[in-house]
Amino acid sequence: MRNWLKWAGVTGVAGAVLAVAGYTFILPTIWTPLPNRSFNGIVGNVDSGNYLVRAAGCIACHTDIRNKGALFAGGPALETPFGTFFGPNITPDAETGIGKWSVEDFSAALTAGLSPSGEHYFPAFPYTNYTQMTSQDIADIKAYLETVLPASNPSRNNTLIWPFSDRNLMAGWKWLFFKQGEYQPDTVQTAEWNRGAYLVKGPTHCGACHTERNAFGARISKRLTGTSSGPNGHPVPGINAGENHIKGWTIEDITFALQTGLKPDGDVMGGAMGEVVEEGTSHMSDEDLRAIAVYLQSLDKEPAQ
Amino acid sequence: MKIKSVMIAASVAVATAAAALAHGGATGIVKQRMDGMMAMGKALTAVGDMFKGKTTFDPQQVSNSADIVRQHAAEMGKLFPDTKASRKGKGTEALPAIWQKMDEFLALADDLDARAVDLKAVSQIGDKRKIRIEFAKLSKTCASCHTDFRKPKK
Repeated sequence: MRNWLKWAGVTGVAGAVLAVAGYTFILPTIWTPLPNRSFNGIVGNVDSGNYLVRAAGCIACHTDIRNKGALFAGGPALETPFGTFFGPNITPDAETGIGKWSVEDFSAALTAGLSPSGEHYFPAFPYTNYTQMTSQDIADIKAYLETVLPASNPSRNNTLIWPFSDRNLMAGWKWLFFKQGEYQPDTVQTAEWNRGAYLVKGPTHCGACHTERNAFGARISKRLTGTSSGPNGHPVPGINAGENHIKGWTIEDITFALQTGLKPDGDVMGGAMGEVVEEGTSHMSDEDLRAIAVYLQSLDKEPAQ
Repeated sequence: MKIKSVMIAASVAVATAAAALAHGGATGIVKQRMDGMMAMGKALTAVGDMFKGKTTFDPQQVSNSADIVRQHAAEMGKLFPDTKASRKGKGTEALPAIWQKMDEFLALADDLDARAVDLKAVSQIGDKRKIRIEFAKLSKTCASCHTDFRKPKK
């Protein structure tokens, strides 16, 4: 009996030591970001940035529209199975916003999910999509954000459930689930298709909501198959051409719906997508919306296993 | 003769049941406002289809659609009374926020009317591009109301 206790104790202590050692020494090195992008010779265009913050849906998470919060001064609650997230203040305020950030800092946040001090961001911030953006587009957004009125408004803390609240664990998550890197055009496809694919996978991050996630919050399909439990617990339909929701929609139907919120059956988009249309897609160019439609039309549903 | 009237009665019953089912079994005030929404949806689709090239462009149709929307926008206040049947009636997709923020809700109904007035005005000029812009504004008013005040779709 005594022996048994002794060995259980030794095993327990050894396990704890290993866990602590793994957490302290292995975890921080398990994932390494790609080298920082260079912004030499890239000048941000404010007008293009203004267009892109709408396309990329920045406003919805970083502005409390319903409570008439200042533009980009911090967003409303986003409920997820891991807890509640609050989009931080991204106005150029030096203390509570991102006024001190360089374009390189900004790029590291968008493409590697890293803060200027090297902390990991949670994937509620869709850097898993933004990593596909071009350096020019990133510089444009940064240039535009610098023109926004600075708002002194401390960002609200996320209220997450342990262990999901531990940012250090995100290194492991990134190692398992995060593919970094800019969008690579498919040379077999048309320029319009590639533009659509770039927009959908990168800035507009459609898949962030229109995809089911696994127990760790990582997306499990690349075909926008929808999910029964999207943001704030609401179901989100599949939007590839093979799924029921937009099956039979023409390219014009998709373009028009993104522009006006009106679906081919006469219903209008409400809920979170109503907001996406209002704040985002209705401000996009006909050409870009059409490119998105062309890409979505080319996506088929998941093949049966 | 007798068989014929039985068949007519039966088909009427089936059609009524089908219509009720299409609205999740809604009756009374809930059914009434759903019918109104459907009528507006139909009016909007008629215009949308013209822009998508599914039907020929006809400014008169735009004007008619704007009239239909105005007619229903004016009834919005009456269609959402603060009663149990209105709040909790079978099949309703109305969120309690409607009655918590009735001012906002009614302001959106006023917006809808104003957008329909604008749409009718440009339809009489006949400029296709301007009609499209006004139509998009109207349609977005529908969407913004459904964003805040309608239950998310299952």
